[in-house]
Amino acid sequence: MKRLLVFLIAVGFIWRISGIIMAANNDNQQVTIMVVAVNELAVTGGNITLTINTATAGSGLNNATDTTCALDWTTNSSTNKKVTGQLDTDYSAGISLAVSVTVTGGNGVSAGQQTLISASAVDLVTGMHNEFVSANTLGYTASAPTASPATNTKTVTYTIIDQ
Amino acid sequence: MKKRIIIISILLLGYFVFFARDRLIFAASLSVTGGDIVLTISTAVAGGNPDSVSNEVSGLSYGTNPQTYKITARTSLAAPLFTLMVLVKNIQTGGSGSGGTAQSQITLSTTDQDVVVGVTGGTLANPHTCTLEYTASATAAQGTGNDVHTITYTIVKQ
Repeated sequence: MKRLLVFLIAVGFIWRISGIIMAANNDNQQVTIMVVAVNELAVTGGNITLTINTATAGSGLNNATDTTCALDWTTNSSTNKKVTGQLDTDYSAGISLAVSVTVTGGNGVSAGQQTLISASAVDLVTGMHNEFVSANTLGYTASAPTASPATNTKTVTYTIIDQ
Repeated sequence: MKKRIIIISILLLGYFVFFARDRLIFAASLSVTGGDIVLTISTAVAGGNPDSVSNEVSGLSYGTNPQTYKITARTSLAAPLFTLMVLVKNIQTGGSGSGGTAQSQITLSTTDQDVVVGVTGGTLANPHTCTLEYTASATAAQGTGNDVHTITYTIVKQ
């Protein structure tokens, strides 16, 4: 019986000690950070109206301009991106809309003033990579030197895509 | 006499199994709960850096002997591409003693940094617990890629 008592006490100690052994003073966890491609572009300033209502006698109607809107963009791409612009549908004959983007920072280069059309997107800014830039002014110029009075509302879509 | 010895033996064994083991921790212990996690950075507000991402699904379960302990954290990744921070939140004291005091958010490095100090008590059956809030951030300039960290939490005498 004494042997049994010693045996059971030993089992008890081993059981308790096993708890201590299993109770490690450190532990690990794997934490993975994945950063995927992020390319974001936004137009600020809302919708605008360009009104052509003046002329110099003996010349065509004066252009109308607007610089109240801007583009913001972010890209974490290491390869070059560009911003394009495109009309949903073309203006009536004799009316055109051009836009230029004044780049305020980053790596992008403005393509200068470009006439917008619906048939294809035109490049407005090129060479953007690993940057975030805001308040890149959109300079719109509407021209209709000989057009008759009319209202034409169009939508311009700006896109940031691979160059 | 034999019966007494048997009864005493069974009672002793019962004490060890159901009381002593569950009530006492003679060495500090710590385990991570919640498993491995992935933080994915995939959005940004145009004109700003990519959005940081946080995760609070994992935690720690820990206890000590009556002495005062602290918990440290470090990463195995010596040269991460991006920033990984951790903050201990919601410390719940288990049973007795104190679950300790959470320290400010740290940026993980290969050097041990304190995340909780002043830990006393806690048992295997009723350990202290806390939540781990991870925050990952990246800049547009840092580009894309993956960082795989192995984070080690250690409970040591303070």
